[in-house]
Amino acid sequence: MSEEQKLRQLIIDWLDDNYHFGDAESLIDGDEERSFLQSGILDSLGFVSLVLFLENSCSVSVDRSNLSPENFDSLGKILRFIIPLPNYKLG
Amino acid sequence: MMQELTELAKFTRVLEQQNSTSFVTYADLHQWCCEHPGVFWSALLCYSKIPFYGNLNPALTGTDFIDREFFPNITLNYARCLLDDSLDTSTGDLAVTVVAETGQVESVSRAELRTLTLSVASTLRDKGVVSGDRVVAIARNSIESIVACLACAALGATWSSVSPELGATAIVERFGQLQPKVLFTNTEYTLNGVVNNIEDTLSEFLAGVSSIEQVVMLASRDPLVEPDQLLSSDANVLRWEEMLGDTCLTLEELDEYPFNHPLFVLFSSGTTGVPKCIVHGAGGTLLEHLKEHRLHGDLGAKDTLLFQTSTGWMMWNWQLSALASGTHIVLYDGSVSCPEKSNLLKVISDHGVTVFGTSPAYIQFLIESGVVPVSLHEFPQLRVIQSTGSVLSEAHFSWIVESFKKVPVQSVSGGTDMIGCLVLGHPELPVHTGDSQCISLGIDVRVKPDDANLTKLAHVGTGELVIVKPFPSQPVFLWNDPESVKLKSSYFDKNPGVWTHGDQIRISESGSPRILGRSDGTLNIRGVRIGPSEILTVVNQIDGVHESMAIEQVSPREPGGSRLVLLLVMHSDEPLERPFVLQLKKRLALEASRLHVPAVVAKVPALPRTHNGKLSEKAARDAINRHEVVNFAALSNPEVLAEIQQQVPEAPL
Repeated sequence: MSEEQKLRQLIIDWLDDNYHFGDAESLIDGDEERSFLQSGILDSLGFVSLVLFLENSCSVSVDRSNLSPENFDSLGKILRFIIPLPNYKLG
Repeated sequence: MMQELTELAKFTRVLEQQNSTSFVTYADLHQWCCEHPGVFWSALLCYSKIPFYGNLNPALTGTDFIDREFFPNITLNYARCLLDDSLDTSTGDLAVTVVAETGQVESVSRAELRTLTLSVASTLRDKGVVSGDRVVAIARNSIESIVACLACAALGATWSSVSPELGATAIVERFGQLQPKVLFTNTEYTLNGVVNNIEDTLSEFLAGVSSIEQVVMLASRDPLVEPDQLLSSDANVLRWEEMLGDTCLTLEELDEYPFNHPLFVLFSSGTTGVPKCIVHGAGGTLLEHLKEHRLHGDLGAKDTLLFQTSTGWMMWNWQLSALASGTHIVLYDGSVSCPEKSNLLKVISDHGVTVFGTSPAYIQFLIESGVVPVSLHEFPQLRVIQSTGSVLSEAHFSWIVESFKKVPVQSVSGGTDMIGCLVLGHPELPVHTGDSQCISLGIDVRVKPDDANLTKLAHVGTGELVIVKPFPSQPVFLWNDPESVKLKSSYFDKNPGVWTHGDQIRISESGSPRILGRSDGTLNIRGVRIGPSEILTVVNQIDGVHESMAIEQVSPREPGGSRLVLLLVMHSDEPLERPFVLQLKKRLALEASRLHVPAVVAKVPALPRTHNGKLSEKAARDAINRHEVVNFAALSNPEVLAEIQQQVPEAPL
């Protein structure tokens, strides 16, 4: 499994554990760019929780000025933003 | 220039003059009011200038909490007290503003609110609503929900409301007990930009509560649910516009009701069974709120109050009563952080909020999302920030002063049980970081130290919060409890003769109190009290579950500082499968609410029990929080605690 796939699964599992209880994959429906906000997958309070989780799980630090829909509003955006961060490491 | 006296200072002078005494400190005043409850509450009633009728004597009958009655010879009408035109200071004074997350703003003046309320009351009366009927609402924050509540109160009917986000099971469990005649309801609500339809919830509710004769749609923008969509219900359905008929009562035509006439029904969090229906009287509720608003909060017609609350929390009722002080109230409907993280801050700024009420959960959200209010708005009118729902940490106090606005931070706490606050703010006393400023005037709060008996109740120290004298806003009764059996077991079994509130408190030598958390089994998740039974009712019906326990674990990263842990004893020895856990969480979200969904689900071999077979949540809670298990010796199976610790990791710091 690639690094991208691993992080993707981690996010899906987190969405299932905390918000969608098994329905996250079907809500995303194969569209990696589907807007979390517009499709009700995650709200802005949820963004903050997700970022705290990712910081803890991936050993990264997210500057709060970057906590915006531009970086976190879809699976694709999160993967592109998180993986290049310094010190990124899963697990 | 002389600074104008606060309402508390003015009232104190009145008390001093009328009783030929003087109070040097707040502690002196508080003690005197507790020692002379009849004089104090009578003086406050007169000072408030609300319209009431009858004889103030006796102010209090009976000798204990159960048989006491405040002001048996006084009558009033709660709606008239709030809508009284003597509080209008000029044409067009705003009474209520509702701001939706969509940006939509609606406002009504005091005169408009009066007209709307009396018009809806007329229609309700024509539809057969009479004093003593129960009227319930599944309502979001809106002008209509305020009007419906006041119209109901105007007729002497009893009001109870929940937020539309609550699941059908939980709503039926609450309202079903009341056998309500009328339901006011929204059929949808918007949260985080998503429109949520609740017609299924509504259908399930009406199928489960057959006493409903009339359904009223609260907002015209909601799609009308036709009667044939309401499954087995025989109820009539009315649009909101149909409630605004041509005939209109006047304030003078409204009947007066006894001081202790049932006004609101609130619900306990159901620690040991279905939520208890706590019935609050009109006079006691209003008098307590007048005291908190005017004396402790210095609220008046100059003020705009915004308290973050849904219709299902007592702070909604609390905020509503501020109309009796001429205060403009601002309600917020939807997500505080959508479409922008700083959404609510803009509302505070745009609407000139002077007193903002919030929660540690919201403050934590602002901190974690990097929002610095002071960098976005000046909040020139804002003079106080209040917080309740859970314990406001010292770090939160400091952050508010540094990053929000340098104003007094008032940590207030009380509860549904007394529809008000026990510890709260004071317009003149200093704020000690982490503490509330004072104990509520006229409420004789004491500390019962651990292992002490009732002869050693103290004014300072740490222990169980108890109240030793009756107060007007205690419940007038619990529903379906004619012999007061539930009332006694809820508040008086643990410490006979005094009110046991269920909180741990510390009162400093200087008199500033701090709530330390719950002392009973109630959970406080993200600032919302949840009864474990609401969770266990759902969980124990799931195939494979033998028994379960819901407890709270300290979790500094969570808004509110704790997370929900569910312990499961299964019939099978197999480990928990992920699909099973997800299915369990989904059922809890649907049948109760998202707040009822545990952060951790752990399979354990058994639950801790005392020697007489009773489950011990306290032992399990101490174990998962890595605290010393105080009642270890009282357990018949203490060995399970080690297994529970192994299955439930400590929350990340």
